[in-house]
Amino acid sequence: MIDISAALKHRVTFIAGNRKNAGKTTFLNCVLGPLRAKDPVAYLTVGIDGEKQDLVSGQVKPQVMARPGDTLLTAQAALARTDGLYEIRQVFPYRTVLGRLVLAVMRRDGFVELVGPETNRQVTTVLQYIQKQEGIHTILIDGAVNRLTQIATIPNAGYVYVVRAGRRNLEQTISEMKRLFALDALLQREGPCPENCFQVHGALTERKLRDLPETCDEILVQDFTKVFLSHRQIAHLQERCRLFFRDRLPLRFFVVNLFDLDRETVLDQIKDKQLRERIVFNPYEN
Amino acid sequence: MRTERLFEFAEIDGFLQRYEPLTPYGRHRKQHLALSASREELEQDYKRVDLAIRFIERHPEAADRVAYHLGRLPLLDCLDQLEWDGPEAFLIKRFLVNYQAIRAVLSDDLRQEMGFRFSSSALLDLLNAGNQDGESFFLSDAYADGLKQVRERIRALETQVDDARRGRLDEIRACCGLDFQHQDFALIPNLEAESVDRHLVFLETYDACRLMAKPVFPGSYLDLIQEKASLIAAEKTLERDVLRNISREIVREQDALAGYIQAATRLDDYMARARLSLAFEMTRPHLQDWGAPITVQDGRFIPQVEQCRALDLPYTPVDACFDRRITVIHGANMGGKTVLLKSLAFFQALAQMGFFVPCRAFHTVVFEGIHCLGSTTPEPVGGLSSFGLEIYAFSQAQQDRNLLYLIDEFARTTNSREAQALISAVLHHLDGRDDRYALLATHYTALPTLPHVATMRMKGLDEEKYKAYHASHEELDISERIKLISQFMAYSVEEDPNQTTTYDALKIAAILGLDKGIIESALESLGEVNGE
Repeated sequence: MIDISAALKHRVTFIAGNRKNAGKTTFLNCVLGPLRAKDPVAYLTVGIDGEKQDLVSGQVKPQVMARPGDTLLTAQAALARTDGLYEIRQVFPYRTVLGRLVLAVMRRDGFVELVGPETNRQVTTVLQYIQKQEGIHTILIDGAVNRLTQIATIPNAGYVYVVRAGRRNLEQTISEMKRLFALDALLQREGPCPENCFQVHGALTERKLRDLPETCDEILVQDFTKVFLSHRQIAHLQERCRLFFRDRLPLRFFVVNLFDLDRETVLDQIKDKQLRERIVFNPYEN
Repeated sequence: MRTERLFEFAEIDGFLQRYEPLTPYGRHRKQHLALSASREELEQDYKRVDLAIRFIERHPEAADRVAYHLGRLPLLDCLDQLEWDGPEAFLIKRFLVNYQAIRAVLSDDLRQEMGFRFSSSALLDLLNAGNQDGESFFLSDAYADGLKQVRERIRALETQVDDARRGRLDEIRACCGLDFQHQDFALIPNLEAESVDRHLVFLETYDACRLMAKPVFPGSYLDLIQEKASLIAAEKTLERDVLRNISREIVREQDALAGYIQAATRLDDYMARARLSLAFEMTRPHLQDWGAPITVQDGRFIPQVEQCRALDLPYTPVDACFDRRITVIHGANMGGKTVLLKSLAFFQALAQMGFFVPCRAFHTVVFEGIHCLGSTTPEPVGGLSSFGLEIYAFSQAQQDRNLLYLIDEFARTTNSREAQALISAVLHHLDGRDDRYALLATHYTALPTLPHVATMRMKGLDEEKYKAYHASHEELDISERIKLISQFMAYSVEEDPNQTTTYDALKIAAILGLDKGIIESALESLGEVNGE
């Protein structure tokens, strides 16, 4: 069984999801409680999340219940609306539609709407600031659904993948989990590309596979977000040659929010024991 | 003054990447670097760089602290606004804290020269109200008694709310086994609904298998929450009043703040120039009256120095005295004529941007324009050939005064007879204008002797040494031969009043393997006796 707090402590973790309303913010709120009890914690989001409601909790979102001592990043206007009390630690020169991005430490409880940086470079700068200047190493990033690729910019970061699994999308969801799990098993290659290595610029797609040189026995891709192949295609490819990443982004675990399903139905379709062990079902269940 | 072609020819942009201001203001200023034609301004620049260098050398620790605090100065890009919110007040405070820290460690002369005044203690005290930590900002209770009172009531209420919440959650845990300590809701199987006390826990359908459970709090708890919400609304009003008061103080200090920004920009700029000067052992240029000779001692054209280093080749520093306004430079192909022009362009551009120069000494004059013509001209554009562009660029500047021309192989793309005639005519023209300096690199000899025109030559290939070496290394391939030419080429420049004929091009052609018969034939056609 996964110890969620231990898996996230002293790490930078993106909370990514398979769709809108997968339950990313709810998961963030859920893990903040036990995490902040152990260590100072910082959190932010990437961009502005347009989702109005979280379908797991049914509550208006994306608002986070910030507690005293929490360090968070949001925009000027969002901070002005909080009912909490906060100390401003840094104002970044990045503007959003809701004003500049502000790093604040909470002094009193309050709900906060998170607004975050838009570009990879901004995300990196903010994270480095939190780590180096504020000395906080447990950092959570509530990632919008299409922002998984931003993980690639952060050294030593990893991600949690939150899915909402229902009857209608079960097959697709499990297929995506198998795909990400397969990609997570691949290794990183540093240094120059060997002679028989095919370096993929941009995305590795089915079409690019057709253009692979006959002599190629290794493929080098920037990171897993650039692989646009199904888990079956990945397995088939690995029979022919080895796949490496320039940047490796570890998958910490899956969070599976079940809807109209029980966990046995999901597990029945996942034979791989190691993958099963990387799943946290409905963390909000008592 | 247009500088694009000069900057490109002198390879300035690459070098200036090492000029690194630390503040957003300094970085902005760097983007707008321009040549100055004011000797007074430039002398002031040099004086300030000099002061900054002395400060860094005499007080290295203080200089490090200055660099640290400069790096923390935030961009205040909205000084003219009337209303300031918390994050904006934070920026002002952060600026003032770091500005003060810089001011405290600056030497007296540097402080005075950069205009580092401070008269905003009252504003800084206001932004520090409540003994706030360092650079952070917080609307503390100390700003207003009303704020303090309302927050005390909120704190007291929070204790009651927490106690009430904890009590209810303990009751739920004991009664139903549900733990809401870290979450506002829980999902439970439908089957467990029976075991839940509906007075304590609210249940609603989540999906076909589960219910969503949320704690039910007593009316007294909700009253406390309601009261807290009212107090928070009152707190917000009081906070707005505090911010209005802070805004008024900031507006009052706007002129002073603008002055601090100017001083910080200045200091950042000159400290960055000083660091660059120290890194490349640069010295203060000597600006002279118009008409004085340009001299370079031990000048290092840094882009070339680095290129030589990368190729493991020796670099020959520039030592030259151009004692007439116009100088014609002869020399072999690969002999360094273009690099000499580029070096001079590099030193002159740096000097006229207020930088020190990488020379033991550089004496020059201030030009109102610097024009690079000839092989420096970019590829044909807009229907004009490179020849057309050269002529156009030369003609364009005719109305301007006090110019420096750096002309590399002028008219090289036209036929040699006309080109030679054209260069001769250009020399006559320049000779007659007191407001022109020029360095003209050319292959053509037999150019007119004129009062203000000197002739110099690149020393070129040391043929004897090369031959001695080559005799024992005949197996060298073409790339090794080219490298050898560089090794045996003397890149220094010397006076050549008689316009000596050396035929270095033929020597190099021979080194590179051109048929001996062709070389001899060429020498014959030049009327030379073939000694080899």
